Amino acid sequence: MIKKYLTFTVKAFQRTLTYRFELWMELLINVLFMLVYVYLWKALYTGRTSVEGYDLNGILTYIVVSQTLLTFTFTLRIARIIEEKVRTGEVVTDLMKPIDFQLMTLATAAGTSSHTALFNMLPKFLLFYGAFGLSLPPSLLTLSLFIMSVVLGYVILFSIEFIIGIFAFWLVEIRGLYAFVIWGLAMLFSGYFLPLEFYPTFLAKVAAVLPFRAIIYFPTAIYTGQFIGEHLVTALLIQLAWVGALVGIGRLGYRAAFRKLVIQGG
Amino acid sequence: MMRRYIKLYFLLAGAYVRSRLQYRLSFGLMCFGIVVSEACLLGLLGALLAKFRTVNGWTWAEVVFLYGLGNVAHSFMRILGSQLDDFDRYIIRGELDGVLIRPVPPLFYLLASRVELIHVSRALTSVAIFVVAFHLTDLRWTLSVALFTFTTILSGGVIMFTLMLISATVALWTTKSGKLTDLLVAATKEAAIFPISIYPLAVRLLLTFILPVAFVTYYPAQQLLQKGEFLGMPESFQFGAPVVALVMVCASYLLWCSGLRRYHSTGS
Repeated sequence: MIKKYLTFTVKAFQRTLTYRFELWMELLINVLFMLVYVYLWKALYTGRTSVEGYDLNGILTYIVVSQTLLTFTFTLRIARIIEEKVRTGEVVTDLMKPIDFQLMTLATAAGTSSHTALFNMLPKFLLFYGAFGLSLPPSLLTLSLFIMSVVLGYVILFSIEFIIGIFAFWLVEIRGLYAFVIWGLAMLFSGYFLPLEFYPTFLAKVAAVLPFRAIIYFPTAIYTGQFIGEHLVTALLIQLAWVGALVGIGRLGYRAAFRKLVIQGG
Repeated sequence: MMRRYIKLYFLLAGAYVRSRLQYRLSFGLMCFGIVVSEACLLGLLGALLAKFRTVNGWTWAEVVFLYGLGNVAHSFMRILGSQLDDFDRYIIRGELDGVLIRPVPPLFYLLASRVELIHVSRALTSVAIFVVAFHLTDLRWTLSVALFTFTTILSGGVIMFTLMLISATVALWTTKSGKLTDLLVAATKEAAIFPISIYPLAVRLLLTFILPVAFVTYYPAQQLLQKGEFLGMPESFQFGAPVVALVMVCASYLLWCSGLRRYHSTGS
């Protein structure tokens, strides 16, 4: 059962391996992005010791971890892949397979993303970790909870993209929706640019009712030790609730979509 | 000859724009999305600087001024160079062959056949931000300031465009450039919206001589805002943007031509 989905994961992983040059360049550019933010924060912190509970080392750790996690947002192109499949009619071949469409998409995404995690995110993080003397999570337990939170955040990001992709069955063209949700909402509320503690009260309140902070801010705050005890457990529970809700909405969405499916030019 | 090309440009671009307008809802949402995301980044920048007041002696208004300069140049380039976003698609699918046999220069055909109007919303937002920042910094419009600003933005747009072209051209050798073009230009733009004095020497040199985006924002801003921070570089760099733009145009076009010469189809 799981084995057939794992095949998709492995295949997607191997497919990504094909274009090495592209991956190296991507890594290089990501590093440039991160350098910008690291030096921005260093400049902002000159003459200060602590702001909103973050000292310089704390904030740099936050920025590097959150920017590393942001890579998933950049590289996960599930919405566009589904859109393409709908537009070309290729989605029909997926529907004929005796497998679950959502799970298959997740398995494929996991393959691409585990490649990204291994060959882009990890080296990038280690480079900055060494160069700027960042902190590790306070304990091994925190580290494992962090990884758990990253995975949950990833599934939330996936589910949001999946829902956007499903809209292609009605809209055909979803670039607009994608830009609005991912480049607009997710960027503003995920906390990739600065910790939510730095947000004005109003924005922080809006962020609290949306799922986006669970993608980057939660895992990062767990890593830096900002969330501990009860706070940490609540964060994980909120993530779980969002996973349940968004996966559910995605399933309802694609069932409805398949019922009304009309293939263009088929 | 020139008139024929101008006519052709509008014909090709018009066809693309019409096709994109078929999906009105999506088009509207995308414009909206772009405006929201621009506003968001600015809002976050504002939240940040409200807390910290200055970055290396640059006030909020001055940073927004740099942000505006960089974004205006970037968005105008995005309108005209939309095609370069995912140029590698042409190579992977072998579609470049079809472009090469057309009776116009390939680069002209590529650029004309795709002009993304959605970036107009980005450009308008950027212009609005820039105008506001301009007034916040106590600058006043005089003829010389207006001319200098206009030249700076034009040169800035050209520099951004050539960077985009160079990174797209890479695909002629490597087959795939993926999101490379997009990312490279986005990253350099991001670097250029902050005063480059925050970076170590190596990064400053990179942004001055290799990916010369410092000429889009930082150096011209020295002239406009009278900051006098040259970080050991010649003071004439404040007027350097048009020269750099010209050099970049020649370099990128030569690279493009040599890339096309060695191009052989993927044969799929």
